[in-house]
Amino acid sequence: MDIDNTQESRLMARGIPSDDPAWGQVSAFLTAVESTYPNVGAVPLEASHLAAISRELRLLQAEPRPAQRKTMNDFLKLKTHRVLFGSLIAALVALTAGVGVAAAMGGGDPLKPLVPASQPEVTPTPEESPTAESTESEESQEVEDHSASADDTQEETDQSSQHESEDSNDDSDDQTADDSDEADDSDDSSEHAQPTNDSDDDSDEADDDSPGSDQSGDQSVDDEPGEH
Amino acid sequence: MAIGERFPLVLTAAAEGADWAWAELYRDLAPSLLRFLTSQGAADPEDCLGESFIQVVRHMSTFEGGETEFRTWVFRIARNRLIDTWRRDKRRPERSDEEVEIAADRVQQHSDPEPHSFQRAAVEEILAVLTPDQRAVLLLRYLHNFSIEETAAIVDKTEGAVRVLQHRAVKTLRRNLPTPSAEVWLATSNVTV
Repeated sequence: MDIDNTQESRLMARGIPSDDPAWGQVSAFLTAVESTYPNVGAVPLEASHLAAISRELRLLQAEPRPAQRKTMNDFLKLKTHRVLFGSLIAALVALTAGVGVAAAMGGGDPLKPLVPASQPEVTPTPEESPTAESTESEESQEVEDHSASADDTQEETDQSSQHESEDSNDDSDDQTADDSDEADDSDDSSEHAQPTNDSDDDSDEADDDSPGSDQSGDQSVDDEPGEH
Repeated sequence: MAIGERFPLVLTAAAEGADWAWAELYRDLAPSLLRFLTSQGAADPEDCLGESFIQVVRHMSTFEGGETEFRTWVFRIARNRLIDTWRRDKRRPERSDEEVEIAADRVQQHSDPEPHSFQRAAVEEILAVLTPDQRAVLLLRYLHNFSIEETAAIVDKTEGAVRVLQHRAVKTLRRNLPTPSAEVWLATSNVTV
């Protein structure tokens, strides 16, 4: 015979008599348990236990105690803490995933909308023309060198003009290098302007993916003859 | 005997290391804690009581709440200490049916038994058929008058699980009471059924 909730509550509240045909035995047994384990107190143990407590207190006071140190388990005991922590993790994961997706889709610099447009992009317009011209002049020079008829004066003229163009190229390359350095500085400053870990990752991805000033600057330097 | 309105003051003083506050907390909780540990079948309930209070001292800074919550928290520490003792000693209050019968026979063969020791041995033999969780829930609810919510906090289970454990404990007792041990404690307790 099973016991229902009402009878069970009465049993716990000592409401079922011992002569009850259904649950009297259990009620009598619980009464016996109560008398078997009386509330006798702990007076004989008090002195030794209080002494141990006092020793423990002194030990705790003696050791340096970091303020409000809590383990992660203690921190996560509160439901609100768990919710906040989980939300923070989810937001970081979503942000990282979003940046990764945007970069994979090849949409250019994913942080471009976030970066203030105060720093104009450095386009490698001035140095490319002299580079192309110098390349063409080199080629024309080589053709002339291999030609059967050699005109020394013309060649000297060509060489002098070439040297002049090279000088101007040096100046423009220096300026380009300076510009690229400034671009690097501006990139660094833009990173510091957004002091988050994600911005560092984003800027790294931007630097890798976009044909930015660094690459153009390096390219122009590498392509320029006589620079090495 | 509850501390009552002075509890916040006592708790604050105890957190600051005042010996008088710890003495007051000890006198308030130690008797019921000792009773609980003894009824749970602790091999050395006095030693377990002392260790429990040491743990309370160590983790006092993490406690937040009132007197009822503090009492629940201390009982939970005591039960955890008891479980650690069981694991360390590899001794559990569960016994096989054969061991129960042997112990019951030993009780019956005692030449000049004291009624109380007879009764205690018989009661402990019957309680041993319960699982540790059933025994804890039943005695926390019956002996110490903890609510379902407080009992759930002490044994670290849900309220539903506590109700199930209590229900099964009562059913198990009813099923096991007509035993030689039951007859012994019925005879010694002068209870007529």
